[in-house]
This record gives sequence, C-alpha cells and structure tokens, in this order.
Amino acid sequence: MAAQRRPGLGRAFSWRLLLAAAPAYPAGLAIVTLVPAILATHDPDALFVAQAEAVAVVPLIVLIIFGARSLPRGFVAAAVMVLCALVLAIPYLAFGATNPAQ
Amino acid sequence: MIRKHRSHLSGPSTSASPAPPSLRARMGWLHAWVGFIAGAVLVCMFTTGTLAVFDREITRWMQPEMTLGAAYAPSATALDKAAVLLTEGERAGGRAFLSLPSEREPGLSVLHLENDAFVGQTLDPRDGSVIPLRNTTGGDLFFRFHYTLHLGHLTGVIIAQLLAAGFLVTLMSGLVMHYRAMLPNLLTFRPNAPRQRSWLDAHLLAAVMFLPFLIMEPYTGIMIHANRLFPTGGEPRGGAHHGEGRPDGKRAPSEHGRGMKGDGDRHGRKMDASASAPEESPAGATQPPPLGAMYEQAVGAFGAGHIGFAQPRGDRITFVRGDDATLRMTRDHIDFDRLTGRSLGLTREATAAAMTRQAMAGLHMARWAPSPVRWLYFASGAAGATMMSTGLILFLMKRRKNAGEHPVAMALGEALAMTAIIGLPVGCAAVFWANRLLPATMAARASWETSALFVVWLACAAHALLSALRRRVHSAWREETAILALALGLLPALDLVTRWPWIQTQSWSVQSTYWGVDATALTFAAISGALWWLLGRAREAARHVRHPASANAVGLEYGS
Repeated sequence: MAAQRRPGLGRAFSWRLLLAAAPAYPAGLAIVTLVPAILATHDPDALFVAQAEAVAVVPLIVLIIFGARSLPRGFVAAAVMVLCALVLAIPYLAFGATNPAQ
Repeated sequence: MIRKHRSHLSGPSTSASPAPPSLRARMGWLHAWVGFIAGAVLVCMFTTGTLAVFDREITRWMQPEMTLGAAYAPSATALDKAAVLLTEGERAGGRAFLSLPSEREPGLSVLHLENDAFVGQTLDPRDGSVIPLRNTTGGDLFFRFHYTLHLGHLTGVIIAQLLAAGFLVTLMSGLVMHYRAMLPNLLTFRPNAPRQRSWLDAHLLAAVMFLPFLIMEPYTGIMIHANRLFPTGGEPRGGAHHGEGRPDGKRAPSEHGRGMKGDGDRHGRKMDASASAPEESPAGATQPPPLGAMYEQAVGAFGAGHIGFAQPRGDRITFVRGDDATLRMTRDHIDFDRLTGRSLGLTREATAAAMTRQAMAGLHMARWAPSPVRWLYFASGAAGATMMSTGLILFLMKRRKNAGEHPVAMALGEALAMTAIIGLPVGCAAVFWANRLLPATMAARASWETSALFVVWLACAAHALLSALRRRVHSAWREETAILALALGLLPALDLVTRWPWIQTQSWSVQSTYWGVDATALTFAAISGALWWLLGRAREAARHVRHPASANAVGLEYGS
C-alpha cells in the first residue's frame, strides 16, 4: 500500500527487481558448478545435491536482494547465502558420495 | 534512473528525502507484481495439475468402451499376442513398449510415441483380445499442459520452471508479510465483510491452510526437471529420472532407455529417442521368447501389479518397476536377454541422494497415492488455484479505482485474470464434451480434442478482452461463470447418454470412475453457479446504492 502512495516508487521497485533477479540464475549456476567440485566427484548424486541447493537459492536471492534495506547490503547477503549453500553441501559427504574414477 | 530513486532504496537517508519504504512495503510490492505476472499462468498450471491428479481416471472416462474393472494378471496367451504387436511396432520403426496392467489401468497396452502422444492397442490381459478403444487425448493433455504449457518439452518446461521460481518468491514474500498473523489467518473467513476483506480472507485461508503443499509442489516440480534449468553436462542419471513420459506412473520407456545410456537429459530427449533409430535396426527386430516367464520373474522382484512397462532395447528386454509401487519413483528394472530370455540382473539405485530425488518426484506426482490421498492432492491443488485466483482478483481490485489512468493496461489485466481463472476451466470442460461428441472412429480425434481446449479458451480470452475494453467486466465474469456452470452441470447427462451402449456391460467398480468424474463436475458446476449468483447479487446491490464506489466496494466492476 505504501508503494502506491509514494509516486515513482513503483518504477524504482521495478529496477530493484531487475537488479535482484539478474544475479539469481548465475548464482544457481555457480552452485551447480562448485558443489560437485568441492565434493571432488562428478557423481550424479552430487549433481543432484547441487541442483537441489541451486533451485532453493534462486528465489531466495531475489527475495534477499529485493528485501534488503539497501542494494549493497542485499548483494552482500546474497553472496553470503551462496557461500552457505556451498558449505551446506559438505555434510553430503556423510552420505557416502563416491567418485566413479576411484 | 537508478540514481534518481536512490533515496527510496539505499541506506541512510538525508533529512530532505523520505524514509525508505519498510520491509513490509517492499515485500508487498514484490508479492503483488511477481504474483500477478506469474500467477496468471500459474493458475493454469495449478488447474491442469489438479486435473492431472486423476489423469488415468479421466482417460478412462474418455474411453467408455473399456469394461475391465479389475487388474488381471496378464495370461501367457495375452503376453504372446502383445509380444507380436511389440515386434511389429519395432519393425515399423517406433520405440514400442508394453504397458502392463495395474489397478488404475487394467488394460494390457502396446504403445508407441506419436506426435507427443502414446498411441497403440489395448488388449484384454486375460485372453489377449483387442479392446476397441477410441483414440483420445485423455488425462495426458492436462498432465502435459501442467508442465509444458503446450510450448514443447524444452521451452515450455523452462518457462514453467521460471514461473514456479516466481511462485516461490511470491509465496515467501507473502510469508514475510503475514507471518505474524498466520494463526488468525487460518481461522478467519468473513464472507460478508466489506470491500476486499473477504477476498483477502479467502486468499490467506487457502494459502496458510495448504502452505506445506504450496511450498513442496513448486520446489519438487522444478527439481524434477532440474536438468533443464541447470544443465549438468550430460552426466548419467542411472535410470533415476522421474518418468515424465506418462502420467500413469508406469510409462517412460524412451527416457528410461536413454537415461540408462547416460545422456542425463530426461524429457526432451525422450522425443528424440522416439524419432531416432533404436539400438538395433527395427527391420531386424527379432521376436522375443515368451514373455510369460520374464513377467513371472519381474513379479518376483517387484510384486504383482507393480510392474510398469516392458520394452525391448537392442539385445535385451527390460521390465521396469511401476511408479505406483512406493512413494519413491524409482526406475528399478530387470533385464532379460532378448534371444534366450535369461535374466541379466536387477538394477536398483539406492544411494541417499538418489532416494531423495526419487522421493521428491514421488511426492510431486503422487502416483503412489491411494485414492483418499489423491483426493487430498486434488483439494490442495484446487486450494492453490483458489489462492492464486483470489490473489489476481485482489491485485485488480486495488487498482480499479485508478483504472482511468491506464485503461488499456487495466483491461488487459482484467482479461488476463478472467481468461486464466474461468476461461481455462471452460476450455477443459470443452475437451470432455468434444470427447463424447466427436465420432469414435474419427481420424486424428485426439488432436481435435486438444484443439477444442485451445479454441474455446481463445474464445473466452477474446470475450474477456472485448468486454474489458468496453468496461463491462462484471457482465463478462457472470457470462463466463454461467457458461462454465452449464458446461460442467450438463456433463453427467452427456456421460449417461453417450455411455449408454456400454453401461450394461460395465461393473459397479468400472462405473464408479464415471460417477466420480460426473460428481466432481457437478460440484464445480454448483460452485460456478454460486459465483454467478453472487456476482448478480453484488451487481444489484451496487445498482441499489447508485454510487460508483459501491461497485468497487464489492470489487467487481469499474468505470460503470
């Protein structure tokens, strides 16, 4: 409702949405690339773990950047979330990921 | 442009600039606009997905010639006849496969992929006699539309995935806005409340009550086709794909075969697989040994009634476990030598990640689910469609006061919402009508049924747009809901009249499927009729007050 009362805010929010959406997919791709590398395996299971994280990260990045009080803060928070996603993949090793090359 | 509005967006504000918008305001804007843009299509995905929960029942309704009530184990004779058809299908150049009887689909079918649809013959599993079923698009149409939007298995799936991601953004922003009032939202519905309150109550009630379902479905839906959105360079999936090929939980043989060959791309390449040359020259396809012994071994491995399909693949024949066997949608399979019939072993994927992937697919598609759980999925899907429909209406209601500033954009928005919320169900009803009214032996009748959906939907869209441009939105809503109520309300009568020649030969268990579809149609006809009546009452109330704002107060008209 506040967005409607303040003239020009809708346009500003539109730009903000574009800026929030722009890094979302690259962040997902980064996770899909990095998680199997961290796990030192190209096992399809590792790829599944990476995809599961990436799919969750994409909407969260939009939400975090858009919802942040300022854009720089939003970008920093999004970067931290990607790092957290990478770290979260490590417990997957406990499931017994194997490298087919071994 | 960014600099111009920096004061609204960035950190510490100067004393002259206004305070930055609150988190609630930011989330509200995101919720409204992403929700409206994605929601217009998501309503359609939810509507068709809800129908797809009962896809096989719908297919059965559309084939009244089917008289089999129970899933009989296929006899050796029937399997031999099926093997002959299977070999003929292979020699004809197609990737034919054998769909084995199950509780929800008792026929023994020899099928192949043709123009994005599985076609072929259905045999009686007891004696192998051909059951003359009409060619129909069946529940497959709704299933395919749900995740491809009829735009193809690459473009359509990716668009559907992006929309599902948009849905997650909308859902989470809505949660941020309303998390403090979750419990009151769950308990509050005031149908007679003024202005937009009752619509908002309905929106929140549907969202909160079915929140776990509404989070689970888009996430698992994206994950099923994650290789589309995040390609992984052709890594093998080890037969752990999610069986998008058929909604019956059993058939995805081409994907299955390709998956095991290791191309990692599951659905799009299924179509390539059907078009490309099989592993062995089709013309040289040899008649397999009797399938009965293989079938018995597969039953020993997977259990009776839990074998999905059998398919020749080069020098072997593969029996694949049905998706209805467990919650996890596996592609466990047992291979046999094509020449000798000797078992080549059971392949089962059981790593933790693989089982998680299988469970996600199983949770999304509910092929494992017994009837009561399936109805729960149906109700949840309908609630999701209701939540998005009320959200679209709320979005428009808030902007109708200022409709004069952007009349064309407003008309487009109104038409879009009406087309998605009412137009698509009218189109779906048209498929049922076309199925029964088109001659059973008509050539390409499945394509005609599919066309009926889009022609009627397009007509509804044109009607909605013209009405919106002429500022008679309220009347258009009433007209389309009346058409929907009539189309659904008369469907049971159509069913009885056109099914009459077979009704004497159908057992009670067979007829229950028809009664279920008819009763559901009547229920939604009653809801549509009630909506039509409410719209009329609101209009009368607005006329009575003789104040333009009163029309907006009920949120149904503008500019009148």
